[in-house]
Amino acid sequence: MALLEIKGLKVSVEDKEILHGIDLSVGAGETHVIMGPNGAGKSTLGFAIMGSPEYEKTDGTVSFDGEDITEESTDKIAKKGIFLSFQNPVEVPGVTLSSFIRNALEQVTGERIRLWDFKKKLAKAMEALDMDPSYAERDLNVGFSGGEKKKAEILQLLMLRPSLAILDETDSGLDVDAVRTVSAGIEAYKKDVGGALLIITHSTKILEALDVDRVHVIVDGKNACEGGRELVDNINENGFEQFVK
Amino acid sequence: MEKMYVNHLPCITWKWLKMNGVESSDLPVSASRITADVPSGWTVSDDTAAQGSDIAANSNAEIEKALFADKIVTGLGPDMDRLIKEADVPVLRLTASADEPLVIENIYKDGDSKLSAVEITIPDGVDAVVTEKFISEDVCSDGNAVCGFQTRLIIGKNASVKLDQVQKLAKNVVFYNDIGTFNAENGRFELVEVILAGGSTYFGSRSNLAGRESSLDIEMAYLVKGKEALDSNIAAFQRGKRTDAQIRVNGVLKDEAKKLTKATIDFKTGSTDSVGSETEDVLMMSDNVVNRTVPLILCTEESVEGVHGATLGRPSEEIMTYMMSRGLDKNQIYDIMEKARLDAAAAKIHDEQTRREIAEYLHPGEETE
Repeated sequence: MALLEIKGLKVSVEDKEILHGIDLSVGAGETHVIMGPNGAGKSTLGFAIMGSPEYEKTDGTVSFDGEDITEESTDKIAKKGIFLSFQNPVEVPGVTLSSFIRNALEQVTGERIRLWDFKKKLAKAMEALDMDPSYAERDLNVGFSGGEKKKAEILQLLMLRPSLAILDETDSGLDVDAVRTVSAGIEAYKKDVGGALLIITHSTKILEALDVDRVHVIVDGKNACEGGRELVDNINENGFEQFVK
Repeated sequence: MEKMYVNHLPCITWKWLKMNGVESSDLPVSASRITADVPSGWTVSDDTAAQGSDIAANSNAEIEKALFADKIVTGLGPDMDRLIKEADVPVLRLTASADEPLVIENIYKDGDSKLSAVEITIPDGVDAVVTEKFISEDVCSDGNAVCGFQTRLIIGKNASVKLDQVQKLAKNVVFYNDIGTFNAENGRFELVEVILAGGSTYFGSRSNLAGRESSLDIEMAYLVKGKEALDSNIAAFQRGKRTDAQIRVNGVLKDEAKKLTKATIDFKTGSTDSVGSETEDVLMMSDNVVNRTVPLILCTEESVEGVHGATLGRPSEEIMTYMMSRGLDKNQIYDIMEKARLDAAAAKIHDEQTRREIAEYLHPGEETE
């Protein structure tokens, strides 16, 4: 049984259909990559899986771990073990990164976490991501550079330990060093948690250190092609033009 | 005194807006001597007589004249001075020392009608820390009480006082919290005001920034819920050159709460190169709250810089989606955001025990630092 199973998913935003019947199947612990030109609907797919209310599912189903989550709310989907790393993480004034993660962790695990244990884990994860410890007590994403925002997303991934992580262009806007650090964080998630990854990306730098199981190309809100890792090399060489009808 | 007029706006507006001031007949009548462990380095004066006031409570001209005469006129205003005098309240007069902080804890019971006053002189060059707590014996009680407290601060040259106030009163308590300061040259007044609970609160703070480079820094956070009401009047009277007034108010309104914030930066002639800023950010958690804000910048001096801003509303859809994507439901998000505002102000309180008490109130059963 697949961990994530999407069948014939159609999604509209403000009455405009963006996804026209997407199929996707991701097994537990697998790494899948979603590629496609700008405006293909890649991020829409991520938000739709996550149950974001702006993205209306008009047809099809989304199942996770054998359970239909098509109509579930975002918070319940997150509690079931799906994590979305945002392309543009939102600034939340007044709530520190540390308190946000602690609250979220208590929600997804359903357990009270001892402050000392939490702080120790957080410090370790921040160190692994080469993050300045002072960021823990700063307001969530407020005044963070693009790179720090992406690191804060991966930090949440490492702390929340979901069984499926959707990474929406996590590597975009990052310099070479930051891509390396973020990639190391994703590798650490795979190693420690063994969760599945659905990586939405334009570039392939972030994939270098990962064992990719399947690559899916989406064009104009439809599945255009699917293959193994070799598809990434093909796209690097020939672009997306070959899939546009 | 049967009625008291408080929180007069330094520049009046249309009467029908009902923002110029408040007349109240719920008055504390029993003089209450402050009992506090005064640190050994501090001195206590034998003079406990209240001064009273001959200024009309609704006359900005008279208030201004008194301020130019280096007097303290408090935020609630002259009627509070008159009430204190009439009730024969023994004023605790102290001279501060930098050695140890002063903590004054006021615990009110059901049926109390207590009125207290403290006047602290901070000598030249001394940096003092004062914590004042206003707490109901049983914060969950339905009992009535009407209480008042006045703090006067005479801040010397190059002196400073950090005043932290915490209010945690039961839902039927009427409370008058009155502050007035006189700031000599480079005299600095820092106030952290955390209002967690209380039935009807009248809060006033006015600083007479007479000295050159004197300053005021107010960080206020409030949670007004149920049928509670908060009426605040914060005023910076900037007379000295290069004075600085910073007023930041962060609040949360829930249920059927009512709140009026008046914040005034008043640049007087001679306050050359002074700056002032006042901001208020209100999180409104219900459609039934009443939120009113009067940000005032008055100016009779050219070379000054005044800024004001107010934001209100609920967390944006973007923020909601982001936080929900981490497993938090709407109520939990509201709860986190509301407590975060109070936590941020509480973290600035100097007294560790007081910080702990706030944390226990805001996060019951939770392990905090």
